Amino acid sequence: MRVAVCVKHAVDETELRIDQSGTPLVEGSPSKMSSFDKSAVEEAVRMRAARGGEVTIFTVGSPDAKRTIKEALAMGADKGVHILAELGTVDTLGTARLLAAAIKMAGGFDMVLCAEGSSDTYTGQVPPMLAELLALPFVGYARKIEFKDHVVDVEQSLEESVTSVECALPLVVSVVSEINEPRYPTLIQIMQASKKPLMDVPRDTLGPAGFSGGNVGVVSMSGKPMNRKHIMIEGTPDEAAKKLLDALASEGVIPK
Amino acid sequence: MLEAISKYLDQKVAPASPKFDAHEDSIADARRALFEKGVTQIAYPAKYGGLGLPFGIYELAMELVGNADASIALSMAIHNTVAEGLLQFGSERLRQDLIPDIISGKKLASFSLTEPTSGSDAKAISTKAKRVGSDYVLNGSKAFITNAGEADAYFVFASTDKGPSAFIVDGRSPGIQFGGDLPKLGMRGSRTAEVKFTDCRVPRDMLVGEEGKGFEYAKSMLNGSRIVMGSICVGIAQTAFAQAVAYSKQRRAFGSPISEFQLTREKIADMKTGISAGRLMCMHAARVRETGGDYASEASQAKVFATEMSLKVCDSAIQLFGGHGYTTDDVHRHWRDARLLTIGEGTSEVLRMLIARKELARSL
Repeated sequence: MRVAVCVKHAVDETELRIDQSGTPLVEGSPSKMSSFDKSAVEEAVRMRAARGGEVTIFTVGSPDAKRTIKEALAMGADKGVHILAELGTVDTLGTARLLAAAIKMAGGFDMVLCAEGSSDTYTGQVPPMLAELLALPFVGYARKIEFKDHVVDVEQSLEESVTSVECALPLVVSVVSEINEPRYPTLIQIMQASKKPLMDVPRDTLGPAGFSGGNVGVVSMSGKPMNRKHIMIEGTPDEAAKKLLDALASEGVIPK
Repeated sequence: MLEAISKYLDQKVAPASPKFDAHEDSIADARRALFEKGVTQIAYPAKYGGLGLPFGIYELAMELVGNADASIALSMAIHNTVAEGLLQFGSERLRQDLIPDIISGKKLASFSLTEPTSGSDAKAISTKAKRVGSDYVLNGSKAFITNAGEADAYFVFASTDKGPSAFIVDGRSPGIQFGGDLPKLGMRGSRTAEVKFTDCRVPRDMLVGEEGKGFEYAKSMLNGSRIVMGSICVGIAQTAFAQAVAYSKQRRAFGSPISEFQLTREKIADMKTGISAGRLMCMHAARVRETGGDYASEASQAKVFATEMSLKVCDSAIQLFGGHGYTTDDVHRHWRDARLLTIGEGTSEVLRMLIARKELARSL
């Protein structure tokens, strides 16, 4: 069983600072593996443990993105492919084209796993685009993947329902984080990760896809201020409890 | 590597730390998980199951553990001192039999030197080891022993006819008994108790090194351990500092956050400067150790400074929290934890004597 996992070296949303005008200071912000991607890596590593085979990590990103690939290798993936592209030079379609070209070049995968979206921009566009470009079926928002002979049974966690679909291999699946609890690698696994194969792929070696940056440009980004109400409730405990219940009811938190 | 440890500690260990202090939960699972991650394997050679990395990496990793939970850090550090003793002085058989299991946490270890009436004065130990046939028979008791009652292996100092000697005693041996967990000011997650030996038979091949050299062994083992105790205190101080800084920005007085006041800022500056200096002293002592020099003075300096600095920082944190600091476990527990370490593994007073003696001997 050969599994490709696409991961993103994303801006660490917990460290992102916003300037006084409300603009996120993306450049120079700390970055890390998109947190949802860890579930995709974990699922692939579990599949390999159960069914044998190989797990290959693909990422598009700046030289710093190697840290994310190494983290996935420490979690148990076998090798990594790093498509070199500077931050902001490709949009989602450009990313999907680069990934598709590299996955085709490596060839022979039974499954391509992605996360439902990235923890920084969360567009969720790359997985279905990738499936289209690879001409493979796509199943999104998987919370459980079960193998039955040559097909997979996937439980999709949709907004208000759970749907079960059966699909033949090969396919592209995007997973939700409830699918598993990603492991924390041990120190020896972190050390061993640096000895695993990690291939650099310059964009221009990927044919026409390598020159496709995409058509979408970011005009502006801004942080949305969240104003807290700071309602102070006074009075005896009984009076305060009643006022609190009234306040919560009027906000729609609890029924009136 | 340190980033990975830090992430794990932040997400899995630090949130449970107040419960360990309040005796609402045991440190055992979190400690086991950290053993499994490989923290205690860092500075050991690969032939004994270690990662073969510099001691300085271990020392920094233990700062991070101390930052997340001081009790776990203390328990792990004392445990690993036993592996250090075996590596330095044990026979090849003892090393191969025990070091891999200790540094991977399969066996929990305990360092048993202190007695009710002797601590750093290891020559004065009264626990006796008498040769009887192919065994030694131990009688006496050890006080304030970390991991006592939980550990599988005890690195015990007892006097033979030739003087203080070191033995590995199996925790299940007939004749070994443990007191109850002592009520402590801090480090409440770790177990501290008396260990008593009554005609406890120890096979001859469990003697570590040579008879009569125990005092030298203890001194050497404590040097490494003292750097780690300093690092743990840097970690404790960093936690208290981070809490206090966050609070100072949120707590308002006279119409502005208290972080705006000059006297608060002075505290913040002094706290951080102390933490950085303590960290650098521990790193420097680790560096001298790695280069093969005599690092007894540097290790003691690092411990004296970092432990006393940690107490000051934790005290300032309580001061910044005001009444909340004095009445909230999650603030004052850091001071209570740090308070042990100007006493354990060599008091500040003994270490100052050691530093002065070493420096006088170094000077022309």
